[in-house]
Amino acid sequence: MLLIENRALLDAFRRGERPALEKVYTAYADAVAGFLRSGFSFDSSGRACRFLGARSAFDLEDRVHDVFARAFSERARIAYDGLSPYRSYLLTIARNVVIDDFRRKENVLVEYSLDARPDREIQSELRPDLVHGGEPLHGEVAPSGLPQADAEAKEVLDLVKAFRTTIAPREQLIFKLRFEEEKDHTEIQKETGLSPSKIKTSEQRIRERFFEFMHDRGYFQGYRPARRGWLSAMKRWAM
Amino acid sequence: MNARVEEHQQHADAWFAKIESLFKGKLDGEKAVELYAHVKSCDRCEKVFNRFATAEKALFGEKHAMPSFASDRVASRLFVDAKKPGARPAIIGIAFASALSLMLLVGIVPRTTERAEEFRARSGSTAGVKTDAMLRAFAVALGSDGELDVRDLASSQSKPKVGDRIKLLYSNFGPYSYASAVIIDAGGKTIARIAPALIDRNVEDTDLAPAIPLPDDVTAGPMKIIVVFSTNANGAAGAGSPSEPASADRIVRVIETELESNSGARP
Repeated sequence: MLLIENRALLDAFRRGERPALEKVYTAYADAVAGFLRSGFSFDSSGRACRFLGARSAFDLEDRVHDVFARAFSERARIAYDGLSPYRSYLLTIARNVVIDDFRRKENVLVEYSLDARPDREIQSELRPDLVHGGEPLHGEVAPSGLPQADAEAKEVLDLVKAFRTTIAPREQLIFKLRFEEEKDHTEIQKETGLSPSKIKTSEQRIRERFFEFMHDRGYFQGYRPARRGWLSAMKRWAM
Repeated sequence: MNARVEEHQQHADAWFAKIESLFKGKLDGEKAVELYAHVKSCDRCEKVFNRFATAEKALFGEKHAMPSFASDRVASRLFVDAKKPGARPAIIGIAFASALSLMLLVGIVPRTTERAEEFRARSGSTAGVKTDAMLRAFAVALGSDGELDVRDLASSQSKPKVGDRIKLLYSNFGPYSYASAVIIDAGGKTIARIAPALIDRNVEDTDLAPAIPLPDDVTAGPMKIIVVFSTNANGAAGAGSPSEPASADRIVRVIETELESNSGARP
């Protein structure tokens, strides 16, 4: 109801002002992602088809980007009537983006089934938190039915647990508040007295150390992390 | 090495490093757009991208369909055009970088490593163990002209005066998570005490606490600033003894100075 209730925001959105677009993106990104993860059924040239949902994290990010890129085009912004819920308008765009993609790839039916299956669309509307089986999340693995995938997910979780023990107490606190309790920076600032910049720095440090930790434990096999420093830069330049 | 294997490795090194930068939040704008375009057409890179995403989700474990970091990445790509104000800043940036490089070459600007060495030399004694935690102290006062007068106490020429404030900065590249501090005057009286507080790691020149006022009733003469860095809150609790031996999980840093009475005018 964001744009219906806030006419000033709607006007700014129609003019394509960046703060308004960012507000709309923040409000609806999760709904679009939930919709694209779960998939939906559609008809194409008289055939019952089904989009099975984004196949990977990259695919999801890429599709969410494509949906908003189209939704934020001038034509789509002006076409929105400002009376009906923007969420429905946006999910229709998402649907059209997927169907257009399907038509382009029609000969490579990798992500689609021609069998009509029970519609999961309703489920995606009700369960935006729906996760794919086999993904390690919140310290648990939702069984995927694929033993190898589940074993890999378990391995990731074990590494994550090991990493959590290496985080400094102050970062532990920020991690807990920010990611377990999902508090925003203002709330964390009130609780800890830390400035937003320090909270951001801690978050950034946790991310960097985490990926370095995973590297050291061989999680990213086959990839040599770039060496830093002027000597390495000179060597790369000279090669 | 087999040419094909080498080609594979070069591809991996180039693009995987960019994927890692993206997940570390260090790649955005046009570079991110370029990376996404490549990953979309490259199965190998998509696998690596997904591996990073799986790890990220396993750690940060948000309940949403779109985790916040993923959402930030999409936004960064989505609003890339709006971030592009034109070529001018880039030209200015290049010009500035070139000028800075030239200045570094001719020695006008001190190199970072030199500054770090200087910083280490200014630090207090360390009871004979290799330390990674360092301390700096400054006397801060409002001058008669309204300007802030800041004096580095590492210099023998700079001395704090009664009524000044003491600002402490620390650098911590060791295992320490807590620090406490005590300042004592010539009479052994405790001027100020800072209870054990959580500190950052792998940081340089960071605030230890708000500036500490030196009240009017302290005795002029030798003054000691003692800071205990420790791996736990209990270890930092007793900050009273500078002669106490350091241990692996606790280290004491001391800055000795001379407190002057505040009779004369400030410089």
